[in-house]
Amino acid sequence: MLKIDRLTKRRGSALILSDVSFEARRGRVTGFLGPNGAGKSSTLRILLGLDHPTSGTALVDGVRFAALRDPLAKVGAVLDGSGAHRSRTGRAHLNWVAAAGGIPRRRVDEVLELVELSGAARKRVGGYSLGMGRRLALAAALLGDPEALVLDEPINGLDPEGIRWIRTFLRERAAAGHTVLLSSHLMGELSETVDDVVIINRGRVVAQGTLAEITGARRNLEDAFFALTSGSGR
Amino acid sequence: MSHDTRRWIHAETTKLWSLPATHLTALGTLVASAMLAIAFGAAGRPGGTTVLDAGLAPVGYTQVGFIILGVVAVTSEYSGGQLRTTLTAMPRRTTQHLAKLVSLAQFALLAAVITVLASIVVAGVVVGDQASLTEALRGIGGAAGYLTLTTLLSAAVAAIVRRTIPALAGLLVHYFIAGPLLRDRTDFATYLPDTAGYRMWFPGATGRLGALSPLTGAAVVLAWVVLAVAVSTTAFRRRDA
Repeated sequence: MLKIDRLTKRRGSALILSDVSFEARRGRVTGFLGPNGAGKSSTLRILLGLDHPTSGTALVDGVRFAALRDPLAKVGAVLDGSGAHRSRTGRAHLNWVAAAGGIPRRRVDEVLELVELSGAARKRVGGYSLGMGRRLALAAALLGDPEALVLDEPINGLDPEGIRWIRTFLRERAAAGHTVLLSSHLMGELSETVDDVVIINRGRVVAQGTLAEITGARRNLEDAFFALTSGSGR
Repeated sequence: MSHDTRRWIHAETTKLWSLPATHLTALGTLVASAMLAIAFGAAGRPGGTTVLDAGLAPVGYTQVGFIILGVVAVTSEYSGGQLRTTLTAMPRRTTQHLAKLVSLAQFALLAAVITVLASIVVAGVVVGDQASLTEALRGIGGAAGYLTLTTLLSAAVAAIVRRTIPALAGLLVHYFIAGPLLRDRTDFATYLPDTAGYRMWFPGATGRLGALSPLTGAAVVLAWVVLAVAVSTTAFRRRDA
């Protein structure tokens, strides 16, 4: 459903992404893994139409993100931070996002309930903890009950209970036939969550396949990851 | 108007009205303007200051509030990564940018009408006279039009600069230092957005301030707005968010 095809991105003379290609499929959780600065966020930002690629394409069901008819129903995006202005309340933030998608107000209450933020809905985002900010971002992403979820480092800033919650939640999304693409630099946390794995290092995809294929003969995903990326001198 | 456009204007309006900075700015501007109207009304010679003069003179100062409004409406997108949320919900950038400016123009027009009306009413009480209805309506229309265009120009500049302090500093230097200095020295200053629009809100202006008729002045300011919006839209489309 999400198809990244030969993406290259330069910033000045720096090569951020080089010929990055992979797919995230329906009904599966795809882990996009790599060390910090490997190009994960850059790839996701291009997929979401936030950054422009130097060459290559990133398509959602065959269409560029910016051309999607109903973006909130197609892709829910959770990038770093809350994605909300600190002086608005959580509910006010969700209200304007809902308005943009023509989504009824009662759905705002539903997603607040879902991410367990109902009690803090009238508080200003500036007073939220890191974890609450992340949950607000997830609530906004879920407003349109999207076919795909794209999450950049979703477990950053979450406590162990929160990590467990999001793992279960993402597995359920995939089990219901949705597409989940998440990036992370934490390999150990993810081996129980992902079906497919794409490993990126220094702007290039160094391996991709099912979890079993990537782990192969090694003890776990983490070992496989370091075996695949250490040769390039990190 | 397409389905998206209408929804997105609604979303941008919801966004603008739920930002405390916009209410505070509008309210502060209203209070400051009324107080200035009282001061101007009281300071005038008996029989020499008309209600409209005292009621409209504050616009020269209270336009600061509308400049702040325009800047903050745009630069607040860059706080907390809100712009990413905006662009994943409303990914067609030209439409989104214009939707924001339309909602801002509506807000600014409403705030300007209330502010100018209140200033004229307060000035009337202090001076102990009344403006004729036609004069008052003309004064409110011209001043509110000028303030709305100034808000839009400020928003477009802020969208190009993307940062609150540099955008605000540049605009304030233009409107309060460079503009007044230039208009005393050079003829081209007649066509700068502050000087050109002067008679829109202060019909009695003289010298270069009075060089353009209110309608010509309005057309010149509008041209500046169109130019700035065109540049900001192009920049917004091309840049990485």
